[in-house]
Amino acid sequence: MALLLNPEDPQDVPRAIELIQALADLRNLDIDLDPVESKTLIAIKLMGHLFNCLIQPYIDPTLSLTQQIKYLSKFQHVAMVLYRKNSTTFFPGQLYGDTSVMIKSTVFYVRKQQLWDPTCGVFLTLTGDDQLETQFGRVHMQGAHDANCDMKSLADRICAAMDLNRVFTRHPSWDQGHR
Amino acid sequence: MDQLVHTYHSKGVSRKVIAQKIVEAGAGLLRVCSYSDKEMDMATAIFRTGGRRLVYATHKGLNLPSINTIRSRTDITHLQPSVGTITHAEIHHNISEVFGKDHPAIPRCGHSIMTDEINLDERAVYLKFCQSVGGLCREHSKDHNLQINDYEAMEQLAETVHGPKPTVHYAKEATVIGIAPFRQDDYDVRPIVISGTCKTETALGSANMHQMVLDAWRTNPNGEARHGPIWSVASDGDGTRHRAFYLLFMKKPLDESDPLYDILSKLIGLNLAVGEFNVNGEFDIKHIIKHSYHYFFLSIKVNLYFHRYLHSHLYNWRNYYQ
Repeated sequence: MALLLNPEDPQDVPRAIELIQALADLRNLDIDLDPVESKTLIAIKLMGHLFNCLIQPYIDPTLSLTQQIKYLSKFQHVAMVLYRKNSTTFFPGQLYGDTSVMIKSTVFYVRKQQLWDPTCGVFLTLTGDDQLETQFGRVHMQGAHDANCDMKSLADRICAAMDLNRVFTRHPSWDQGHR
Repeated sequence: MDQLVHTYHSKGVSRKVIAQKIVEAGAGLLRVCSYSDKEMDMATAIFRTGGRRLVYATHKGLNLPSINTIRSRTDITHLQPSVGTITHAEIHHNISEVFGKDHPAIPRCGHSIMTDEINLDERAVYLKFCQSVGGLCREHSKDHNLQINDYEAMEQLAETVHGPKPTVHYAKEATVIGIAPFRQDDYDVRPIVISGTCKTETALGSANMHQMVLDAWRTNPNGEARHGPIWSVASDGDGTRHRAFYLLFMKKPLDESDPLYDILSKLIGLNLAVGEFNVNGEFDIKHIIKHSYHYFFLSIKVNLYFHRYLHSHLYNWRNYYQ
């Protein structure tokens, strides 16, 4: 727990998820505490439960789309009430805005996909800009020992990645993949 | 024979010369190469992993296509990084270059625009395609001539970058805007804008840049017409882009006559404000988790005593249930 709360790298997403799950596990915990402590525990349980709703749709592949949207909607409704009550002492305004926008746009995406082609699935992993960062990862990898690059070599490396991708889509057997 | 006639005919050579070339080829004086798509793909892969020299070697040694051949068949993508301010022409060129090469079988679907920054080495580069200086920030290079025409102009430019009060800066990061489809198969993000930034851009500037990309995609024949519409624009939690996204994608309420309206309007509490053509802004879940982690679980005043307390209980409780 101490390690989860004092990470060396505050950008560590897997660890953040681990912590949220650990907190979510606490929600059924029933122990005798003095009033101050039990108040803190209630707050922590609420947090754990709330954030669990936010991450479950993205980490549990067995959920159906309906369940995923239900989780997100639950998060948004509870967050909204808490934000209205406690304003920025509960949630930084920017973070509240970000989650609202993300969840709203996910709902729009589902409806847009339904109207466009209902036979095609909806995948939450396709939302967000994470895939672009993956592409950046490949750009860094191409540089090997010289990971950073200037403008011109950046353009070159991005083009190379796209060309290879196109070739490997046509000939999947040529691709060594990631090791 | 076909290949030979085709090649020389397209060069506009007279029939007499073509006939002569056929004779030469028959006598073994002229090498005629015709390549299968597979060989072209292999040469492209070789060029992109091993570089120009390896293509030369495989061309000479294994009769694979030469660098000029793969270039002329436009199998090599040429992305133009923007010189100074982003222009419509650059975006259109890049869309055609990047999205114009797909074999047409892929069905149209919704697309997402993604924006993020990547670190750059801070130095100027020579961009051959436009004879200009690249690697400077887009925010301040608007009023400067970046074309390399004469020595004085270059000295002046160097002065504005290196002088005691620089008005133009080297780009610290490159903003990359990519487009990706909403589908599971054949998924890849394809960048269409690469532009240097010194991180002083205003929300309005950022909004304009995204608007240009949206407009270009809608009007380019290799954009929406061929691949499908843009549904959303995604980004990380950058502060300037927050404001920019608000300007762009909270513009107007969803139209009541829109097919989206009937179901979405029934969802109580859902904010129905959208941008032009019903585009939504969105932020990445990973950034949100990072932020939450930072704000909540690290800055919140949870006392250490309670950590220990919880820890022991959590431990017991887990053991009990496992």
